[in-house]
Amino acid sequence: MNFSFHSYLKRLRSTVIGILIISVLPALFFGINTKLEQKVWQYSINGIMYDVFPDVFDRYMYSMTIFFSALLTGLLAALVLTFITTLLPKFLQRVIYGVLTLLESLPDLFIVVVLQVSVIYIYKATGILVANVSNVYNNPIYLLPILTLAVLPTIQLFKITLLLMKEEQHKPYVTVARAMGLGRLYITLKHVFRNILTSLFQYYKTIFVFMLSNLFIVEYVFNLNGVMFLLLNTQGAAFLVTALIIALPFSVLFEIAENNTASVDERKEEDAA
Amino acid sequence: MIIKLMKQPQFVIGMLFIACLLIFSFYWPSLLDVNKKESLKLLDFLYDKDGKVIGAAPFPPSEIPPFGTDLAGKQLFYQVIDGAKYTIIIAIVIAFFRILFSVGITLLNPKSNFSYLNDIVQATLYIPTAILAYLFMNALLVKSELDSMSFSKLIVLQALILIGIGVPPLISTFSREIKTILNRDYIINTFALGSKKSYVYFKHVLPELSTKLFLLFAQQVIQSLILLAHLGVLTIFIGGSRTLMLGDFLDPMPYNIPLAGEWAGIIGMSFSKLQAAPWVILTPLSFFAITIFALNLMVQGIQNCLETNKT
Amino acid sequence: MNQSILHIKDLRVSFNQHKDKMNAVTDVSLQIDKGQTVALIGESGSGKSITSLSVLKLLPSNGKIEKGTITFNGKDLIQQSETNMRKIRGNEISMIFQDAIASLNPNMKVGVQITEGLKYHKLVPKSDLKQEALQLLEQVGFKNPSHVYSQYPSQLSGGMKQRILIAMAISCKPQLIIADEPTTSLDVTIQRQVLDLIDQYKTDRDASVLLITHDFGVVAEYADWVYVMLGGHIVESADVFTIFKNPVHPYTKALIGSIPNPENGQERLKSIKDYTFENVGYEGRRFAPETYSYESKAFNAPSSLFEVEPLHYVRFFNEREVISLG
Repeated sequence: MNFSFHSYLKRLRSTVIGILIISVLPALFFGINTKLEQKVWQYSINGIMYDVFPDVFDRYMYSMTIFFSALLTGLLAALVLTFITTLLPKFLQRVIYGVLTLLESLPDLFIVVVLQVSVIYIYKATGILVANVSNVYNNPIYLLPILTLAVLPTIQLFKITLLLMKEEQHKPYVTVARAMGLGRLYITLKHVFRNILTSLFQYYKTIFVFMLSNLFIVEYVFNLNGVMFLLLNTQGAAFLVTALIIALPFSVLFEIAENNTASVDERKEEDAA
Repeated sequence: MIIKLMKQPQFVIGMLFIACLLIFSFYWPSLLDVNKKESLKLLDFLYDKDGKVIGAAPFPPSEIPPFGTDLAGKQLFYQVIDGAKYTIIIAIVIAFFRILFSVGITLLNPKSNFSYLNDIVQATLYIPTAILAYLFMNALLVKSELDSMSFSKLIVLQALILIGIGVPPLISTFSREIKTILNRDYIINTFALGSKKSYVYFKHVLPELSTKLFLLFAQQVIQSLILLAHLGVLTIFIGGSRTLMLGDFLDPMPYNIPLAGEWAGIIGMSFSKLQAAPWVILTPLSFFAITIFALNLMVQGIQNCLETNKT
Repeated sequence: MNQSILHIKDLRVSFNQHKDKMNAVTDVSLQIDKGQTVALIGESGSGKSITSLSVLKLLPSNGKIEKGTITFNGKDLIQQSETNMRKIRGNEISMIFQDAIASLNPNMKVGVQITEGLKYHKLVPKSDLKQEALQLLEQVGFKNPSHVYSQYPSQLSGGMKQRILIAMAISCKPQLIIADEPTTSLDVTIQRQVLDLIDQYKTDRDASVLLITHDFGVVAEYADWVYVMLGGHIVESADVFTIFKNPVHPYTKALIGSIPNPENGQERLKSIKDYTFENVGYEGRRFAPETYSYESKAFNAPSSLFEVEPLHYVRFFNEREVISLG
């Protein structure tokens, strides 16, 4: 595990400056919003005022629970699906790849809406409530948002792992392992999957950023008391603080991840040299 | 390059679809032989032969095929078809200017790594684009209400916001891209043989970048479409909206009608009624999905083309 | 001593490429005796590697063994099931590949990789695996095995990686090692060290080696018997002394002639006129003696092996040629 405090400080500085610029720019361009009744540390939803503190922490924990549960679900589902796919015949694999390309281009909004509508439809038709579709009073819902948020990452990760798998299976070390008499299943599990996981790590940023954006749509459509919903309804200083609360923990994650993928890259470069 | 692209079936299918949709959207009144005004009028109530009211808007697809009507009783099918041109053209314009501005700015100073922009790019990683756009758009809308801005000025300012949001990340992409091209062996070779800087940029860097530009352009169109849909849900409409009162005097129901007829507007104005009339949302959303899929096919075609170029 | 361990007879391997069928190896026969090092020499694309991969039945998915037999210790390998083959691979026949850099999993400690075969074939109890790995590392010349054990391939140099591969190949004490250009990707200074390791193992355990190479210098030093391959055919075979003393086939002559020999007062390196890469389809890819013009019919004519002296075989187009050249 590599972690350089110095380079993290640099990243931190640039993140803070960036968020600062973003939070003052609208006021700079279009003047200060003159909804006078709104105080600095307040946000309004449907015309009702709430205090940002300490709400923001609860909301943050709730959002992140959904975020990481969905990420884990997606990753697991993708790996299991890839493994099953490799056992299928070649032409079916190609069909699956095509379907994935199709599914991948579905907008997040579409998936969220379709899932919500179909849960309601099932409820109306059969009386079975598969999962709660929006927050009832102060009882936060988990199942449906997590599953919804997990759909797109699953598709993306599934596609990436399939591609990586194809690439990896033709590498010389697989032939070497086979020449040592190791079985196909053993090689797939012990060698190929291990390497795919390492390569998958390089896509962390794309996936995370993509999922954060999805998280917002999920929170908005399901009307969840999440931190993204808060970010939408705050301005100025409150926006700045909320954005920082979201950004700071993630920036630590990004820094760690970047340092470690960099070392993987170096390893690869050394190999190539 | 264009000839090569035409040989990619995915690219051709995607492009044909978009082209057909656009043509249909421009000429649907004559193609379907219907009156445009008549088809887009409000249809609050359905009457039977004797003039009795048998139903009120919104009508589901089963009553008024193929897609039903929205809350105000406008036929969704005609709305969606008519809105296609606005939606696609807005997205294309936004994407085009994003690319134009970012390439221009990058080429002004290709050696710089735009560190001040990097800060913003870093920050936007954590803030979803939709929220970012909402922040600016909302401020603009409040201002436009106060200053009573003209329709065209509002549209231009809104477009500038949507363009501006996409520029910083693109600049950092381009400056990275140009730097890798400049570091290629053959460029170093060209310099070693004594070429002028401008010659190298125009003869080597730009041609190599051009396919990539096309790819990024198509991807930006997709991104703009998604952003438009998100903004629609947040009831931010391109071209603003006017408020219509539905319901009776005792229970007035304010109803925002977007002025431009693009898809995001159709989604946004009835999003709160998702559970009561899901088809009003699902119809334009599906069109978004299909259009994005067609664009993705084009992207795939371009990528295939880029790969065959290499080998 | 003259006990055959591997006997390939009339092996023909074809590849499907864009609907075309192409013979990569045509009617190759080859024999390796116990304790012998047999060299298979030829340029890239001549079918050496395909021959060796056929022995382990590890051909790429578009390759197919058309006919022939591969007898190893009395068993015909071509008839063996995949499960049986797996027991043979690594265990009885093992292979050292040329691309040492890509042949190790970059994300696995080398110590673990060395003993994978042992673990999989259950030759050694789990608790002894590490001990065994350290011994193997020492055997291939690492001074501090316990340090190397926990390193990743990227932390090792090319020569070290090749030695790791050798350790892997000898881990299950196979009777036959196929070394596919083991020194090609290495610095000249390390080549000898690597070849000596293989030779050492051979003498220690009375095993056999199939050495695939394009370097006649290496052949002279290590091989007992030589097969020269060209365009999927064996064009000449003899014991190593005969080949150097009396090469008959023009290609063999050219190969030997291209070894720099300062004692001869030779000043320039000889090069081989390259007929084989002139894209004339597969049938034309045969080295013709200079007496034949490139377009001549005889160039594409069927050819066969003739015994020019006891146990010295050379491929010719017809008998007349044997007399004129031999």
